[in-house]
Amino acid sequence: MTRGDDFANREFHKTWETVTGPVMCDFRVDDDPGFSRLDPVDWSNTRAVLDAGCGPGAYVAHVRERLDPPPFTSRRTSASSA
Amino acid sequence: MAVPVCVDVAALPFAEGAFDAVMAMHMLYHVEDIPAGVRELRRVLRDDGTLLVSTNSVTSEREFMDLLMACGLKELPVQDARFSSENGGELLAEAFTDVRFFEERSKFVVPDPGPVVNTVQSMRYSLEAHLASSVTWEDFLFRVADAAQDVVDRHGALVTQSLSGVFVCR
Repeated sequence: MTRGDDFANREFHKTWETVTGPVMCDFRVDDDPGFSRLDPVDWSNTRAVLDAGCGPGAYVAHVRERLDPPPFTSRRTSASSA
Repeated sequence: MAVPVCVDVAALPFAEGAFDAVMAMHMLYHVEDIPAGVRELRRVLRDDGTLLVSTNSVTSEREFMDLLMACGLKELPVQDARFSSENGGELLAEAFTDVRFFEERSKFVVPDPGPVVNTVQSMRYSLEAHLASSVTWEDFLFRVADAAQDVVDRHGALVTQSLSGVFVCR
């Protein structure tokens, strides 16, 4: 088995020791953690998105924010619930 | 609703044009047949959709790589170089007519050797095969910890530049 094959092997992922402590990426000093790279997509015209990643999906929450903006709350609703 | 699936990117179980947008962030260099993967990403994307692909420059984190070389790595892994900021555009242009690259620069300022060792441990799958024959993985980790501590003692932190970018493909 080559190392490239490991990534398609479910057993490899089950046995690979996961690092849970802080890593160097936690010490980026710029303000943008990289999610502005999503901006070139016209999200208003987007429903189905494929995140073809090799990890647990760090982008999912940020894509969801762009697909599902906060629901509109009318002034009447706000007043009646106050 | 997000649905996780574990499949080969070169044989996606989705219909043509099934997605409005597709992302392949820092992953294409792992793919065995990169052109086949790119063709599949094009196939499942609608005609006027957008593919976002991020990757690293081959010169990214040079200071960190120099530290690893000084600790017993005999050569740098070529994995990132298979699909990098430098050659990614050419590979994507085989399936997309409009490919634009946006460079991203940042840096890591790591004030403690622990995160450096953790990062190395997380990269074991790609680094271990490139160690000098006389160096075990455990020896390598100890050397990295000592070297990182030395840098922190002398400079206050290990600072390394990150060079990456995103290809926007249509």
